[in-house]
Amino acid sequence: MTFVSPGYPLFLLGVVALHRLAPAAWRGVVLLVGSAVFYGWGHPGLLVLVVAIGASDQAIARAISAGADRRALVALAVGKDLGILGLFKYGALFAGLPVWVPLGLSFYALQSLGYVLDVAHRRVEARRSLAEALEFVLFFPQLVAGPVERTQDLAPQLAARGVASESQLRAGLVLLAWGAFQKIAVADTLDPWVDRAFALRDPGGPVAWAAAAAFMVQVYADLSGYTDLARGSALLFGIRLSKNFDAPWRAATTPEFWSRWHRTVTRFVREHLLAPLLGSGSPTLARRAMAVGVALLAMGAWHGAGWNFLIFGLLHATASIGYLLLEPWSPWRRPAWRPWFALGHLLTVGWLGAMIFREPDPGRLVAHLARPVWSGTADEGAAGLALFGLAAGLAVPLWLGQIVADRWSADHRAALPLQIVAVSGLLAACFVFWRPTDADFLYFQF
Amino acid sequence: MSRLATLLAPLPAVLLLGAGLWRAPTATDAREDQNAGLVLGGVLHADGVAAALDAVLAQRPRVLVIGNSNANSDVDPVTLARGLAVRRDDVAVLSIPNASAVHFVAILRRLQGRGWRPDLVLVVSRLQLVLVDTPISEGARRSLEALLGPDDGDLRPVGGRWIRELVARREALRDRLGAGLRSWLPRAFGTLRPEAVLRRALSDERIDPDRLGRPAARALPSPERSRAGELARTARALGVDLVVARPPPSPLAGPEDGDVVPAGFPERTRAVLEAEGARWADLSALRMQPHHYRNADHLDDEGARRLTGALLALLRPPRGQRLDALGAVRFVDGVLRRDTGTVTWAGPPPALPEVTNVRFTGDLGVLEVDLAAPDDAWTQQATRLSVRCSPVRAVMDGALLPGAGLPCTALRPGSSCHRASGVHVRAPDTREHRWSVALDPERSCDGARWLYPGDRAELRWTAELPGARLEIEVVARGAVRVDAALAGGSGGVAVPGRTLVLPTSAGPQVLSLHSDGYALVTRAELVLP
Repeated sequence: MTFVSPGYPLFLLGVVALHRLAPAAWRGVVLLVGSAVFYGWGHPGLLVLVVAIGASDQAIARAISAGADRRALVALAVGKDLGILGLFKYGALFAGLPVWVPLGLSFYALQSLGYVLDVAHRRVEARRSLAEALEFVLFFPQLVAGPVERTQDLAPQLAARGVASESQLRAGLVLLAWGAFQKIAVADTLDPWVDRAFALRDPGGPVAWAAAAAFMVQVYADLSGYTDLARGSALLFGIRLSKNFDAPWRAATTPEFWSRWHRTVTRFVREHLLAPLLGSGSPTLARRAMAVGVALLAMGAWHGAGWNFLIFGLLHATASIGYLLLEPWSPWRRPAWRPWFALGHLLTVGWLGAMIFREPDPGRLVAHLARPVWSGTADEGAAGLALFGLAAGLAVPLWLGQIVADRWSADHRAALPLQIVAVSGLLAACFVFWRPTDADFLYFQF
Repeated sequence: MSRLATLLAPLPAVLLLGAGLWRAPTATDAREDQNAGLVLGGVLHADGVAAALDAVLAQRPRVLVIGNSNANSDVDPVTLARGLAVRRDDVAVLSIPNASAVHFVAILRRLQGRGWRPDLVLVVSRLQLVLVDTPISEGARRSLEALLGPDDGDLRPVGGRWIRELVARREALRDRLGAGLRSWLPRAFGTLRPEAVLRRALSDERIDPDRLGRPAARALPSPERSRAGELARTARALGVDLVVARPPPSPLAGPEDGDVVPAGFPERTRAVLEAEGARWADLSALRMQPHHYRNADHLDDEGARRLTGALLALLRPPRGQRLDALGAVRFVDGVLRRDTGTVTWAGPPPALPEVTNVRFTGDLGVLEVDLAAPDDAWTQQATRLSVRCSPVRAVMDGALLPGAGLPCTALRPGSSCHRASGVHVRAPDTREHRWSVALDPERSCDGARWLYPGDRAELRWTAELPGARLEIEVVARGAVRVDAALAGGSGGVAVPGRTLVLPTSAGPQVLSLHSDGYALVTRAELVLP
């Protein structure tokens, strides 16, 4: 089951109702069973891997807590979880295995590994029971595509066994409606046009670059929509998940972009890869450049066994190192210049990155990059404008949503009428734009 | 009280939203509503669709074509009648706007108890409409109500009218919003028909299907749960030969508008139909050009002749083994296939005269040259699928440009067409180029092959059974002599308009053809005894 499955609203309603009605001691069981039903719906075999990863990491975390060899156990956990991830993601490339990545593996493997590392660094205690550990790894709102939560953020909320307050319920419903809008009205409306443009044998400059711009809007709406659906679902249980996006296209530099885009995965990489590479004390500029480069290449490679993902990582690594070298001057910090740097970053690293990310064929990618956006026939020019117009038109509500989110506190009681209008309007838009589709969330493939 | 007021305060805005959605019908919706239950075969009948249907059936037509508006636009009754060797009046087109499977079943049920049955019922419909189990619009529901008799309660749609209307309204609104979002920017830059331009730029022929991701599909019942089986059972109970034909996708339709169904549904539909004795004709592989359409969804007369011609390959299949060398159209397991075999030629095509004058306006030009070769207009008349396939090509800077297969008014950049006035070209740019003309070395013309003056061609095949005879047909403009000879066997002269028959034996065969003019070999068929 996914958030856009027709049965999801009923499922969510049922689990929330059971969770509220159950005695506090049983709420964990409700969430655990609900999560297992959600993830195993239609494919119960998928549960085997997530339970195996969660259970083995719990055993390792318990052993670390009991005083066993910390380094060896951490190495075991890292080798096991990243090995499994690599086997499914890169097995096709190196071992000729069939291309298949179990749904959500990229996310729950990181979260489960993060739990072991948090225990090893004594940020948290190991969970007392296997059920508690599995509840943390399997918590269904964020199981399939994040946000990747830190143990110290999520586990205590689960252990509290509380229920949602009224303001949380209201905010949860707004987030659910907003997430559904982003996915259904924006991402799914763009999907067939982007897909078709990238399937053209010879797309011409305007169409290819317009499709890349449209993909930039689509991938943001898709992943941000998923995250908001996850956050909204979790809030109905009284659990706050991390905000995964913070207006990433407003970023003036590449490092700032990564502090706004997919923030929880970035945080994982920062805490568990970048920080060890930087070491303690004040690292040299060369060491910082090396660490940032490795971290962003790893971010690219995390998406899968495609040259385009490695090139995407390389682009962001190069740009980040460039910004690092300019840091002593930091012209983007001046308020008057900041919007221009943000626009520049969007039109260079953002747009180019979207093109690289979406085009898996290196030969075609080179051909796209060799074509200026203004080259092509009159028809291609007009078609490119049409795709630009579609993407820009659908980006407007995302931009407005960001403005509202910046200014509007969801917990404010006076906001209730506005919340009702907003939810009604968003659901009406979803009703209008919804079309049955085989398209899952984009990030399910990573 | 204040709590209640807080909850009720946004009600006007919510109601306004609902009203906006409700008041979103298009002009098309309004017209369909107005004519609902009154249109049959594209004609308005004041006394209603049921009375009109009964009046047509009282004439006892031998062939019924039923479906939605595509049945009216996509089938040429004259071509169909000629191909099936029946009178034109024996073919009745019973199309109903937005009709779907429930309508098809209801029409078949009206044949019951008449003491007569047609020879063939041809359903022409998108697969989506064969599978969907309720009327797809309010107008279609009212048409269905008009057709239903007292025993047809099982076909009556369930659910409140306002829900169905709301769903129809939302689809209309979504389409309008989508078109508006795609059009505003190109319009601002002066593009006149941005939707048409976009669809042309992203048309099927420019797409690599292997690169296409997940298409959007309607929420459809599976073929096994749909009314496809009931449709076939009803026809079988009546003793009627039923063929369900799926038209090819329109190159003008956007990615959201095609007949997209989940993977495997066409094959499963065929299995369901064949289990009940009906036949399935999937014409998805038939290549249609934008100029074959009068609008995004409906074929024009030329397109209808082309589709009907292809359909006849199933309705009246070739009487024997077909030679692959001609690139024939045929159905395999209910799906249209195009065979592209090989044929060898003794030498290159003969040279054509020099171009006497070149006139260009922008990127559009005319190469004036005195040619004996047939032009596109002639091939349209001469070929069964009405294709524009003159063998003459423009040559730009030494490179052969492809034939457009389009009217000269709709040329794409880098293609050519051939009219009486000369060879028309659309250059890929407005730079200076060297121009000449040449004959197409491939010599192909959809399902036929060209023979040029002095050409010698060899067709090779293996006859599977002894005692078959080879039938050869050619068409040509004017008096042309085509000599045909089987290696080690018989020979003769193929005269345009007549069938040359040569006896063959089993095993490998070689047919040599020699022509003294421009001739199109339209048929080379082995007919079993």
